[in-house]
Amino acid sequence: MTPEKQISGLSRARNEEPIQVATMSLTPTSPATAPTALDLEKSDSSNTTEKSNEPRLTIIEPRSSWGFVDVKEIWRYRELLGFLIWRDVKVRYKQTVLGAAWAILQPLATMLVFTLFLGDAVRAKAPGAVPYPLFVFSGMLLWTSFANALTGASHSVVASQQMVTKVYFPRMLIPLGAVGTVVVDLAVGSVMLFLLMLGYALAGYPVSIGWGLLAAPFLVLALGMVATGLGTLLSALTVSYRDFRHVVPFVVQLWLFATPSIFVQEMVMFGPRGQMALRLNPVHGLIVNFRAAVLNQPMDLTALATALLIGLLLLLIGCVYFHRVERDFADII
Amino acid sequence: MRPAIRVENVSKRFRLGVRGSGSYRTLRESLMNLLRRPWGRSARTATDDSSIWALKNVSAEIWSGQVVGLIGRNGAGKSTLLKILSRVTEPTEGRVELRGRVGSLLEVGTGFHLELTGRENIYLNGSILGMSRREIQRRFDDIVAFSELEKFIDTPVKRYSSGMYVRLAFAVAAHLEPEILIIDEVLAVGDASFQNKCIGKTLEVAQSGRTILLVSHQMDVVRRLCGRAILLKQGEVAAAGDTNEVINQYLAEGAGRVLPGVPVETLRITPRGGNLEAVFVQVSCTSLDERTSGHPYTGGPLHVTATVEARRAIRFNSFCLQIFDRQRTRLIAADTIVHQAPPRSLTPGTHQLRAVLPALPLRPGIYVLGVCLAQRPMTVFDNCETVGEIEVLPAPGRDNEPKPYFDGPVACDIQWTD
Repeated sequence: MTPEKQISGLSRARNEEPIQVATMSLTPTSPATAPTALDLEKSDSSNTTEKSNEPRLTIIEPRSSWGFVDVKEIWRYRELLGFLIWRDVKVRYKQTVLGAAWAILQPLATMLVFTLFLGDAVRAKAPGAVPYPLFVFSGMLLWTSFANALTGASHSVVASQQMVTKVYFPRMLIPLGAVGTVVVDLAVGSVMLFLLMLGYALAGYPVSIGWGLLAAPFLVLALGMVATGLGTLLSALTVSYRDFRHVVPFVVQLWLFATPSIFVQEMVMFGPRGQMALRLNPVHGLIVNFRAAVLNQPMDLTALATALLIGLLLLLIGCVYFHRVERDFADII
Repeated sequence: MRPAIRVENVSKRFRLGVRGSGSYRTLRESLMNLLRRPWGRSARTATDDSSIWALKNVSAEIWSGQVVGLIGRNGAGKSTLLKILSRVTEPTEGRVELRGRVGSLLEVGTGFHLELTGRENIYLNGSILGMSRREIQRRFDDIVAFSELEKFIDTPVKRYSSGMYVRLAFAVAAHLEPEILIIDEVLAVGDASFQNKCIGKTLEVAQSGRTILLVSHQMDVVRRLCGRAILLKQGEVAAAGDTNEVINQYLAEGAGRVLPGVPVETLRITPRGGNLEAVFVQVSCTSLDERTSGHPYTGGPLHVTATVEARRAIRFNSFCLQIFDRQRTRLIAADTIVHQAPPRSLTPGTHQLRAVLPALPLRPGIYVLGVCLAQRPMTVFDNCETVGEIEVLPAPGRDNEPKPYFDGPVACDIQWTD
């Protein structure tokens, strides 16, 4: 710090006369006008950019509790969403030796465990004799991402307490950012999957790639949707009820058991009725289809349709509930 | 022309126990509630006794280009109002119109991440405050220059000293260029020279025609920066208008301090040392000067009246007035022991002790007053170091003088001798 610099800056500030001020009126407290419109804030973004003479108008009012999160606003804040994801990815691998390799190690380790210790009787036999490790890895890759996204999203709002109480931005960005961070990990993991497939192909196994691969990104997106829907709901619930902090890891664990298709033959484990129930699990439908898409096998369209439907429903519920409680976040967090 | 900020009958209700008491609503509680009255209104909308109004029918208009100070004692609703204006929380009733891009600084360094470098945090923090990536890029060099952290810009923030951290954080905030700037007490961070720099920057912003609404407990800062002020009292607007008038009204109300001439009677419970054979029960102080409504001022007298309750007959040779700064550094210990007079005696019962510091050598600011009664060197009867805060004002007629650049609590004249 150079004192001279500061002194000059200060004296400059001091030479000017203390602020010219227009009038300020204090409206006497008139009879309270009841909270009228139950609208969201109407910041007419059209006025801001085109007509620069008229400054952006923001209206702050108590708003109705039922509604949907403001998608347009989230879009306007997309840059901040990018920054939040970038921060999380960056922070996660700072001061770690292995860095982004951790994104691969988790599914890889699970794959090894299942390959080495699961008996042939229950092992899933993929059609077309896809090697079992490949079968497990592709499933686990998606499952780990989903589990991480769900856990991350549900803790996210409480973890961002500092920001929530000090600055405004669409709160929805917080769980969205948590899910987005996991997508980056997934991208890294996909490279590993590709290398594994390449290795098996070179070793002479019947591994092939088909047009179905194009569907894979959309399936990942759909899984992100499920995670966002449920994660949003849980993150909002966690703000009011910290109980959910304990519920989430438990649910994730149970859910893994409810998604056996990742590593075992469903037909052996479950009867036909069990298989029907399995379809209600959107993660099951998406993982089965993701694997089919990547390993060039026939997709299970019924399971896919059910998964998408349930996923959409979850997203809807999550967003509506989140919107309903987000205005109170700063007060109760 | 319409006001940049129009606040209409804004009220805000908090559920007690929701904020501050640290008790979370548990799931069980809510489930039980739901079971008991499944169709009833939820606790949040129900009007029950366990809620308080942090703001009640607050209305104000602030015109474009004004710098307005929001003052009031703790809990008056200042921060709540700022939070509503920055959309962090929602009003329970009422309506606010904001014309222009709003930048709010409720805290310096919101969203800073310790693991990230200074450079990365500038981008992150800028984005959180509402700057676009391109704006940040454009101002990046200015921000770094203002923070004077060129050498450390690629060092993780966790390795910064707290001063460096605050400098970087304020630098980002200072380069936010909104039309309306909302500032909560952030000018009070950092050391004195940094504070001066922040105030200088705020003045600069003010002169460029932005609208600024700021909360501060430092009346000299409000006086310097603001042409207008609003005084909040228990959630309501108690006064609004010319800064000096509003500040005088605020000071006249005492703001939870030792008021001129009004005794502090809570002394029975404040922590103190000594054998308590005689205890202070009331202390009041005044400058007896109407120009400052009795407030002490630089170079003025400070008359102190202390009521002492003696439990038995005692003799004492030391009545000591102590003044501390807010960091609890003792600045003054004016002790009657220096007179080497024979000890005074007190019979059991209450007595009043009166003493004066004829010329208070303190610069304007907030200090803490303490008193001590003792028979030196043997016995301390009562040492009460926290009677309360006193605000020392500038000497009457001298409040427009430029202030020294450096911060130092002791007032001292300087003359040329060449």
